[in-house]
Formats: sequence, C-alpha cells, structure tokens
Amino acid sequence: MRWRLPPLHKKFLRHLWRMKWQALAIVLLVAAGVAVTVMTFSAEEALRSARATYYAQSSFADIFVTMERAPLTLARRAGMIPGVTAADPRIVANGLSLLPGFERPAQVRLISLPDRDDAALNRIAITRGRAPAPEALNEAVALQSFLDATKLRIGDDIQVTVNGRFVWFRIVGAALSAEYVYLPDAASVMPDDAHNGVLWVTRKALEGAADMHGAFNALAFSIAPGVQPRSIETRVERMFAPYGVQPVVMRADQPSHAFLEGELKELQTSGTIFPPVFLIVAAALVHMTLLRQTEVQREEIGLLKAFGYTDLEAARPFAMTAILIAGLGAALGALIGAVFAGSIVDIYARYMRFPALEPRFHVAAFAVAAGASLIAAVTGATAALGKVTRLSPATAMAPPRPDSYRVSWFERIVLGRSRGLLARLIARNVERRPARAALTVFGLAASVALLMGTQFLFGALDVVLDHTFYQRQRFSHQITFSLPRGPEAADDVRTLPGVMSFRLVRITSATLSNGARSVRTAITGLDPGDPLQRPLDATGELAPIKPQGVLLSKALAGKLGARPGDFVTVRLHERDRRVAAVVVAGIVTEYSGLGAYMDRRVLNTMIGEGDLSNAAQIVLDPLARGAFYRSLAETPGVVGAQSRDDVMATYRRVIAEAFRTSRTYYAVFAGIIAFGVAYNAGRIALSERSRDLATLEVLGFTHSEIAVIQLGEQAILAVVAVPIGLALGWLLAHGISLGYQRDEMQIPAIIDLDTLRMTLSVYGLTVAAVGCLIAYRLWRLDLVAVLKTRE
Amino acid sequence: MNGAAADTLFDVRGLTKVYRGAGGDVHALRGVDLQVRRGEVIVLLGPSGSGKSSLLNILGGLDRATAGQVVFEGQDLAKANEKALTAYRRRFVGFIFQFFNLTPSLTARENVELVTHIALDPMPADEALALVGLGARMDHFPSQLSGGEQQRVAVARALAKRPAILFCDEPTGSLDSETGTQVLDAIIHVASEVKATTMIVTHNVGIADIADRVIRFSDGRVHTLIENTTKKAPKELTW
Repeated sequence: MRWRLPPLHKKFLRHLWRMKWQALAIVLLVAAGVAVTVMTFSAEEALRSARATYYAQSSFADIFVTMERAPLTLARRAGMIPGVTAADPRIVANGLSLLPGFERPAQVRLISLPDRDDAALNRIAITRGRAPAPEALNEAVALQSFLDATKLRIGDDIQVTVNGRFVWFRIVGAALSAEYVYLPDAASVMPDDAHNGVLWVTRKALEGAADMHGAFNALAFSIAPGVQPRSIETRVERMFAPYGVQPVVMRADQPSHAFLEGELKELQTSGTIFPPVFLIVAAALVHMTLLRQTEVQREEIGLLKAFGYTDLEAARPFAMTAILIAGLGAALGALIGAVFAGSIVDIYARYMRFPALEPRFHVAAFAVAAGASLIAAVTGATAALGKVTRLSPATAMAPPRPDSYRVSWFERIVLGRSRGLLARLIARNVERRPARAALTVFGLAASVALLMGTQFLFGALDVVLDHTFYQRQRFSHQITFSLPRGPEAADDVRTLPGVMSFRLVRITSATLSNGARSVRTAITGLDPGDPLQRPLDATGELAPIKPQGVLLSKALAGKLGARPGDFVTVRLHERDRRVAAVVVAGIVTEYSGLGAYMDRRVLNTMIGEGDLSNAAQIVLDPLARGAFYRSLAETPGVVGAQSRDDVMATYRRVIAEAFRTSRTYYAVFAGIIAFGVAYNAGRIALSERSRDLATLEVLGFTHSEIAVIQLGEQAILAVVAVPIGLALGWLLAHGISLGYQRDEMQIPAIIDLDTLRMTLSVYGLTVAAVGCLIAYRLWRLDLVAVLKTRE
Repeated sequence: MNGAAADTLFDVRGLTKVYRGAGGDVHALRGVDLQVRRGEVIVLLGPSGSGKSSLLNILGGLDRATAGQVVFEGQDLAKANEKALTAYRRRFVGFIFQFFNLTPSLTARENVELVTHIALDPMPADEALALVGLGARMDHFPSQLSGGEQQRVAVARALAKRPAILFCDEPTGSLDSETGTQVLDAIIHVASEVKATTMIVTHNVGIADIADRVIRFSDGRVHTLIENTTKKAPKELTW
C-alpha cells in the first residue's frame, strides 16, 4: 500500500499553511537573531584567524622599545635576557613627503630592514616587486596601502625630509606588515592611507639619513611562551635607561594590534547584546501565536481527544510548529549571517591589510544561536502546550460562551463617563488580554530600542567631531617638530605662508598613576588663556589651565579613578625622567584619546628644560594651504602636519564606507522585529474579532469605521511602545557605548535629533505597512461566511 | 406613483444568484419574483440550500445578485456598489442573527449604542432595551446574559435605529421554545412599534403562524406564497 501522511500530520501542515505569514514573520525574527550571531562571530573569527596566521608567518614581536640612540652591541645583550627568544634592532625615522596630486604632505616612517632576514621579527611580506638590494642606498619597499592610495608605482622616486635633510628613494616593491595591518592617522585615528606611509630601506641607507651609524633606536622582542612580559619590561628599561628609552610598548598597546583588538571587541559586543533581543521577542510571538491557535482549534482538539488521541498526540503539532519555526529560522539565519559576514569581511579588507583575509563560518556560534532559538521557541510554546494538554474533550466540544469582559479600573479612571464607544472597545480589548498587550508593547519597544541603540552611533559621532574639532579645538592645523625648540620657533611658524594665528604647545609622553592604577599617555602643555585650545568641563564651561595642577580627560580620570583635588603621580619619559605629584585641577570632556593638560611653562619646568615647545597649533588661511604645505615640506625639523578638514573628511569617508553597511543591516533587523510583532499581534486580534467586525459591517459600519476599531487598538499599542522603546534604547545605547569604548575613541550615548527621526521613521513606516496589510485582510472579510460560523 | 407601488417596499424581479465554484456552478436563486409590502411580516420557509438565505442576503445588502433586479425606494440594489450597500444597510436595515453576534466587550446598552451612534433618527438605547424587557440589565456584558437575553439585546440593537426592514436569520435557532417565543414576541412588538417590515428566515414551521404571508422556497424558486388569514401572536405559538 502507498504510504500516506497520517491525518494528524496533514491537519498540522494545513494549519501551519493557514498561519504561514505569521509563522514566516517569526522565522524571520529567529533568522535575524541567528544571522547577527553568525555574522559578528564569523567576521570576528575571520579577523582573528587571519591575524594569528599572519603574526606567526611574520614573527610579529611581543614587545616594542624605542630609545634615542643605542649602540648595536647592546641589541645582542638584550637578546640574552632570560625569556627573550629574539631581539631585533632597527632604525626608525619620521619625515614628511609632498607627493604629486596631494596638497598636504604625507607623514612617512622609514624603517631599516634587517641584515639577515631569517632572524628578524616583524618580517614584511613583499606583494609586488622586490626587496631593496642588500647594500642599496636609495631603494625602498613601500607599504602597499600607501602606494595604492597615492597612485605611486614601482619605479617611481619619492623624496622625504628627514631631520632637515632631503633623502630620496626609488620604490622597488610593495609590502604588507603585521605592524601596519591597520595604520591609523595620528589625528583622526582613522585610516588615511595617502597621508601615512611606511618605507622599508636598507640599514645602510638609514644609517646615513638618520645619523645612526653603528646604532639603533628601536628594538623588537619576541618572548618564549609562558614568560611574563612585565618581567622583561623592567630589565629592558633598566638596560636602556642611559640611552633615552621610552616606556616599553607591549603588543597589546601596539597601535595596529590594539585597533584590531578593539574591532574584535566591538564584534563580540554586537554579537552578544543584540541576538538575545531577537530571540526573546521571537519567544513572545510564538507564545501569542500558538496560544491563539489553541483557541481557534479548540473544538478540533476536543474532537481528537474524544476520538481517543492522547494529550501528547494532541499537543505534538504545537511543539512541532515551534521546532519548525526555530529550525527554519536558524537555517535561514545561518545563510544570511554567512552572506553578511562575507560583506563585512570585505569592508574590513579595505582597511586591514592581511595577506589573506578569508570569510569564515563560526560553527560554534551558529550552534549556540540555533540551540538558543530552539529553546526560545519551545519556551514560547509551553503555554499553548499546557493549554492543549489540559483541555478536556467535553469543554472543547461545548460552544464557547462570549468572552467575559468587565468595566476596568483603567476605564473608570481614564475614560470616566465619556460615551466614546470606540475608546471603550479598545480599552477593554487591551485589558482583557493584558499579557498579550504587554508582550506586544514589549516586542515593539524592543525594535525601537534596537533601532536607537544601533543608529545613535552615527549621530553621536557627529557630536564628537563637532565637540572635538570646533568647540574644543579652534585651530585648523597642527605641525609637529622633530625635537623641542626654543622661543625662536615662533618666528619660524609666523613666517609660514597663510598663518593667521598660532600657539606653541609642548607635548610630552608620561605615565600617570593613582595608587595601583597607571596609564601611559601624553601631557599637552598649553599657555594659560590659549584661545585655540579650550578644554571644556562636563557642563560645557571653559576649564581654565591653572599654574598648578593637571586637567584630565574624563576617560583618563576614569581609568585612574582620580577626582578633582586628588594628587596623581606623573612620571615623565623625557630627559632625566622626573617624577612629580600633581593635583587634578579639573576633569574635561573629551571623546578621543586620554588627554591631560597643564600650563606649558610648569610642564617644561617639570621636565627640567626652559621655554620649549614641540608643536604649533595654527589657524590657517584656507586659501593659502597649498603654499603653507609646500613650504612645510621644505622646513627642516617638521615631522607631522595635521589638518582639521582632512580629519573631518577622513571620518566622513570611512564612516560612509565602513559603517553604512552594518547600519543598514541593523535597521533591517530592527524593522523585522517591528514587522513580526505588529503583524502577528494584528493577525491574532483580527482572527479573534473577525466575527465581531463582520457583524459591525453588516450593521452598516463602513470599512473605515471598522478599520479604526481594529487598527486603533494596534495603533495605541504601537504608540505606547515608543516611549518605552526610547527608554530601553537609551539604556542599550549606554551599554553599546561602554562596550565600544576604546582609548582612542569614546562614543558617548548621545541621541541626536537625526537618530530619533531615523528611529521613529523606520519604526513608523514598518508599523504603518503592517497596518495596511491588516486593513487589506479586513477588506477581504467574508461577511456572510463569518456570520454563519459559530467560531 | 400609484397606490400599489407606494405600498411596496421591495420589488424583486427575475432575481438569480449563481455561486461559481471549482466543483461547478450552484444556482441558489433561479429567477425569483416577489413584492414585499410595507409593514408586513414575512416568514420564509424551506430546506437548507433552497435559496431563502441567499434571498435574505441580497435583500439585506450583504451580497449581490447575479441577475435580475431588487428595487428598494426606487434604487436597484442589484446594481448598487459596495459603498451604496453599506449606506443602505446603515440607514434602512436591521439584522438579527442566529448566534446573536453581540460585541462581547460592550455592555447591552453599549451594543445598542453602537448602532444608534451611526443612525439618523434612532430611539435612545435605554428605550429600545426597555421595549425588549431588559431595562434592568442594560449594564451587563453579553457573557453575563442568557441566550434569550442576548438575542433580545440583538433585537433592541436591530430596531433602535428604526429600520425600514428587519431581517431575522433563524432568530430562535439557538434558543429553547419558551425563550424563542419571548424573542419573537419582542421582535413583533418592537417591529410594529417602529413600523418595520419584518422578514424571518427559519426552518421552524411553527413560527409561520405569526406571518402575514408565508413563502416556501424550494430549489431556488418561490414554491408557494400563502396569505395567512389566521395570524397569531407569538405567545400563542407552540413548537
């Protein structure tokens, strides 16, 4: 005999087919939750494994040290420190290079290549061309991203001003480096490849250019597994103390590595915070939808039981529906997540230069998400399963009494004796099923919250930029000197073309500590009343530079656990490394970096030097930029040139390119929540009341009047959800702001008007679209058929 | 306009209704001719599928005819669009259903108000409920009322708007005999009060005695049309 589907399964499938759109909405929700998990963790794994492979291939160092100048013999001694497996000395020099087609000179770092490649750390990978010949004086391999952005080609010459000398190199190859997987611009912390270059040249070439014969100024270490890097730090610092050593940089603080870590942390934050929201809402929808199905199928269930089906058999279709929804959602989510992860990895590949960055699929993350989906769906189904199990055949077969309603306290208080029937109908319907109304409001609020919690980042970034570059800093350009200079520097700056006003500043690196906490950062010495630098306190008031004390940025004060009036220990890294206790004069609002500000003269005295400065902050005539930059590239002793306009442009470009994709994804995901919740709630209400509504229509109510009754309730729930969602979104934004916090950049949980507009319009449009769908269903109600059935 | 036409509420001619389905066409009405007079009570009898409910649905503006005409107040309902039918139901028609169809979330009074709210010249809801003997239970919800009481609320709801025509589809079908009698009594009483023409569709032959005319349907046609010369009050019925 031919196999036939058992009748119970047929019934199950037909019911499922009838509620297919509702089920699909929940499937999409589950899929969104799984997709976010798969997307974020797969992208994370792709980055992590590309990084691990690359670090191993290139022997990426564990510890980095720079000093003024040390004899080469010392490098071998450093390599013999217990626990150190390799020590690789290098010469590093910074310079400026004005390239054709670019107004502002690029900051170029020159790094010496090791004489013997096999022993070296941080080995570069040549992607095009070749390495410089061993004794070549004018050959260089350039960072590939620099070549790509500047359109320089192999065979082109590049001229760099180093220590006031002009040196030139012929580019013979392009390379990638584990040290520069991500190369943040000094000013924007964002990639600006055309203005940040690295050239690797022979040791011999750089010995001459940087005046480092028989010496080095940078040392990279690798250490044996299990060795505490801190134990080596002390020995290294002691060994190189006479040579002007700067504090040791651990791999964790190396800029490229730290940025990668930050990205990984952000991905983990997104992948951990968002998916539960989807799954909880999905569980709520499964709960609402299946519970309604038990009412619709009440008589059938009773009949089945009367025929002798067991409770389990009667309940099984409901459990299967939940499992099917979770299964389909997980499968769809895996697919979407894999595709989205691929596109996110593509975007990463534009900013993070790995030899190979391949998309991955994080199987474990998928398994956890799929398991969580299943648990959510089955949890959502428990109420329905319980109800089916408890239903006795007799009650199931009896005709239902009209639902019992009552005049509620809410109605008495709010509506009073008003005779608005519509308001009463809506109020009583909401109150009759408070749990469902609450779940609906919660679900809709979750979508508002998710929208706000993901979209605020973009608006907040604008606030950060405006605060940093227009309210706090009033200069348009900053130039950095290679060495501190006396008051005569002012004359040189003044004579640069286009300089309208300027102030000299002294920036020095220091370690600040408060008790056991210590943070390495830079202190900026400003002249009191400097009009170009306006540190602002939490209320937006100017926090003046005082002769005594240091102003700390909020992030730095937080890291140190320091409050105004506390004394912090300042360990300077320059000259004879003096240590002083300085009072915290105030806390200033800053969103990027860990800033600390002092009176410049006081700072200089602390360092132990006279009236020195090492940077100038300038207000430049915009029309004179070209001339300014040209003359800068020919000015000896200038190693950095930053422009506010370029920083802003870099931000806008990177944000447009890198964040638009994920912003859109999250908006779509949040829309799916709003859609799923509103649609299911609407369909359930419609199914409960279709007979009622058809009666009204027969009694002569117009379609619009009926739509107002039916959709009015939904609309009220949708409106009630907004303030709750905004409050939750505000909390979510704070959570995200914390999770995304980095030293280089803090994005405050500021909700601007654009974010609010975006949130409310995506939400409003989604809910309105659902309203139209429900209205369409309402239009198609079959009057006569509805009247003839008893429900 | 002559006397006969002025006395006619509905002029039905050649009314045909065909339901087209996958299993072939079903001819529910096969050319029905009928004049319904103002103020009369008509009982429509007939087995299931004989066409009586189809006629009621078309006259009630719930459904449209396939062919033929239904002239009401000079307007052909068979040609009316959805909007016109809604306006027609809103203004002229009262309905009573087998399963009461009250709105469960509204009290008795509010259920009646639901209709008086959109009517042109309604009687107050309290008055309508008093007429059906529910003056004391106006603030009860449907779940707090018996079947007969629910149906009487439905009667009050249907007649409070002072309709020109009252359609009752098996109004006693879900009720026991005694309750059914009370409901019929309420229908006849209030209908005469507001001068509504009443058409009752039923399987229950016993009800036929309250009619001015009894129409028997069979196979989509008017089988017999009998003038009832021995009209009884609902209380005199037995079934």
